[in-house]
Amino acid sequence: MTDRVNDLERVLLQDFVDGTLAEERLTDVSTLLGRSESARRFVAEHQVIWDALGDAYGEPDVRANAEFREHALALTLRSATPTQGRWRVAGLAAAALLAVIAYAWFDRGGSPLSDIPAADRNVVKYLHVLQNLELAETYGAELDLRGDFEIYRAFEGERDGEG
Amino acid sequence: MTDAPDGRDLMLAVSADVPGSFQTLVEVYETRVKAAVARSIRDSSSVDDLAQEVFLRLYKARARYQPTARFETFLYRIIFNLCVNHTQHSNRRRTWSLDAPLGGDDEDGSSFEPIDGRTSRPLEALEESERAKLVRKCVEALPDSQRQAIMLSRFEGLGYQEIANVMALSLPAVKSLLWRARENMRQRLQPILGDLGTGEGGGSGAEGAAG
Repeated sequence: MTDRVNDLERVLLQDFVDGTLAEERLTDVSTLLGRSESARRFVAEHQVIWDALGDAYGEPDVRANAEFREHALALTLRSATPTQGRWRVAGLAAAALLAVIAYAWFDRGGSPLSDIPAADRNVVKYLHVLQNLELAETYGAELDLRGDFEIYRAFEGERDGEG
Repeated sequence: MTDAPDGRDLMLAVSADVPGSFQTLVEVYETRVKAAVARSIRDSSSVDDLAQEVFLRLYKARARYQPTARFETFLYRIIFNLCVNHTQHSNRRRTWSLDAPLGGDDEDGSSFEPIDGRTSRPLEALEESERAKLVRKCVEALPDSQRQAIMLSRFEGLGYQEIANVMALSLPAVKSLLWRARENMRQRLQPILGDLGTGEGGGSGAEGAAG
């Protein structure tokens, strides 16, 4: 029979020394420690390492001092609050400028009729009807293009001019 | 620390911009932050600067603080990230001297060499300062992640899950890290451990697969 600790027992021991072992597993650990020299050695070594770490690092040479606190406060107040305020204003200004530019851009390019004299706008708007004028005159009634005939009448002069 | 105001409540007060709350938080946590930083980095000259940076980041993060976890976990996550960045930056600049043979950049610590047993001395013969020096040398030679995990466990009292949160790792990964750190230290510290004399005379026999 080997005294080596298997993987499951190892996990058990690790939880035990790290203080995370579930209470109902304490009996298992107790049994393991009772029968296994390796397990006892593991726990003993852990304790020595933990104590040695405490001796070597437990009390770093650090002290509280007012200068540190004043500097920390000054640093936060200087770099956090004012900067936030400045960035907020800059962000709002940039957003407003962007909105104005975007509005101007879309307004300029949004309507293709905006550059045409008012009198010609309807001609362009209903150009597709005029292009199919012959078809509309022949089959308009059948195709229920009554609305478009109203338009033809409105463009009576234009049609004559074209001819 | 038991009489100190609760960190969670303090941070909530800071989040709500309660006057004086941040000053109180700095006062309560100053030495603790400095100590955690000092244990996490190799050069003590940077401790104050990094501690200042910790508080600055804490302040900047106040708006997104969620009191769902322990405040200390939140705090140590900031400390951990800063110290890791600092260490990585230092590692890039570091030039190894010939009399500093210990590695540490390999993630699994496989480059660990046991200290020559012929030159080692038993525990009772080691001066306290020498013993501490040996332990520090051993810890500094650990891979960064192992060193951070063991420090968070040993000195900050964090459990597995909290360490996992701080280091952004899974729970099994943290257990594995702690196990490997302990194994590396056990091998390196045989001069200290060698006289435990439990009758078996060689290792814990618990060197099973990590994690």
